[in-house]
Amino acid sequence: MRVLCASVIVALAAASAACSKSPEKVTREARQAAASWAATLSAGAEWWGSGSVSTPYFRSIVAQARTSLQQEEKTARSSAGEAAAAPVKAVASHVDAIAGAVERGNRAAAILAAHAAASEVPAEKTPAVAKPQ
Amino acid sequence: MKNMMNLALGIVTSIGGFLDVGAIATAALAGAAFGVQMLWVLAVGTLCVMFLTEMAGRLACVSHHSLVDAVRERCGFRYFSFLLIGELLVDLLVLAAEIGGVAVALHLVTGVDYRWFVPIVAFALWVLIWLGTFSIVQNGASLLGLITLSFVVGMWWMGPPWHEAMKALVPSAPSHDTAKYWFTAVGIIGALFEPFMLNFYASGAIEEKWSLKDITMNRVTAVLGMGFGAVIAISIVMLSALTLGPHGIQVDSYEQAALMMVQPFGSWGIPLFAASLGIACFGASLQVALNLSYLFSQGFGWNWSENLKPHDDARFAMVYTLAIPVGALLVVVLGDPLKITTFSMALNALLAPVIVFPLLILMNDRYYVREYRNHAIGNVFVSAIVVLAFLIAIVAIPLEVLGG
Repeated sequence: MRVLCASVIVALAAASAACSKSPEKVTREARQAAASWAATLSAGAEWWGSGSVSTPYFRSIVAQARTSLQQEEKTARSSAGEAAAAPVKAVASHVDAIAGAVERGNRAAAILAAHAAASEVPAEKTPAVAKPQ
Repeated sequence: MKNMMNLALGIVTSIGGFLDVGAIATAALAGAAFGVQMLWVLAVGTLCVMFLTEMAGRLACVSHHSLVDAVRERCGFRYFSFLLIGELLVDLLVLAAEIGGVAVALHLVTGVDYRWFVPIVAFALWVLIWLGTFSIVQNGASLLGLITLSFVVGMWWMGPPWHEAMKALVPSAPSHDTAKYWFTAVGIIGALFEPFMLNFYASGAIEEKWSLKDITMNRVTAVLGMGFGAVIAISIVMLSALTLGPHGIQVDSYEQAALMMVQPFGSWGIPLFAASLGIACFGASLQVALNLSYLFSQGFGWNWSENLKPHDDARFAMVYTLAIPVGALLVVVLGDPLKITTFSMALNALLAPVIVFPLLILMNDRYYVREYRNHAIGNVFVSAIVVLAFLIAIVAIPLEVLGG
């Protein structure tokens, strides 16, 4: 039992030591998060425009995007500096315009603002059939 | 005819019981991030859970012991205390994730903050368990859970890449995001192995008075029910891979996951996703809350049955009455139901050996299962997968959690 406990503690310590993030990794993750939320806003706005998703639902996507981007920006800035937070900030700068368009019921303006957000950070698309290593 | 009806009902309840917040969240996450590449994890995990469910049911049929009851008797009180604490902590977290799943489903269709729905969901849960019988709780939720078949229809609609999906059944390493890949793999295994499910299944067999004549039905129910359930989980992976990944959408919230249903179903997509998530999570939260009552009552030798009136098994009723508000409170305090879900599913994988190895001991003990003991294949396969999942969990959980 003692050997098992000791092994578990050693494994946990080794894993913890290995998992401190490099600034490059933080930058890459911030970019991925920004791209994913920009793609979500873009697809969501298109579907809201065509009536495939309801207004309350699209409103909650926008609210969630705002919260997540704010958190991501804060983390990226504190761990890797202003440059890492830049793509997140760029996408977040369009959220107010999208939210405003939703409140006015202006679907065309929402689509336009969401596309502008998506153009800031190109999405990293995962094909359905990803190539394994 | 009656046997056929029972069998069909058993399979339907297994399908309904298979899917819960963990299965939906981890499958959606895997599909969006890695395409169909992680299907092999689902296939291996499902095979393993088929073995385990069949064993838990066989134990109940032959020995008329539930899993917890038998572990307490065979391994002693010290081991049982260890199991009790571990399962209490993990089950409370899973209960929080399931309640959160129902609340998020209501949020998706109304736009109202999910936290407002948490107390309403918790109260509805408690009322149903307090007033209902085992068959109402189990069969009602599971029959409604068949709405999750909409994931299969959606996948079919999108034209899945069958050939590539078959290739993905062979294990492969990731080409990117290694830590996320293995954390997701552990989450998928954890969502399949949920320890509460094994004891709930065995307790249900005792509630429904299964005996030796039900051994074949138990086997067919475990294999077909879990098999069909896995088909739904595979459909979620494929649907997510076909609709979210190609747009560059990753699943960081349920709002994003729900978008997978818009392409195949149009304006019905979000309501269908919300109904599937809500009903599957509500059914699972009934099972987790009841399992906590089973856990304490069977372990301490109290009166227990969902078919008794609460005043006939007061301590059994007290456990779920306390557990439900604690689970609800955890959702509100911890926030982000998706994060609670993925973390609790990974913890399931950590806890699995604590409950699986005593089960294997019991299933090889002539005193409990007489001539219905395990074959070597079942012992070796289940042990290997559980140990592997445990080891990956030990490495992947700190990597993912401390690494953010």
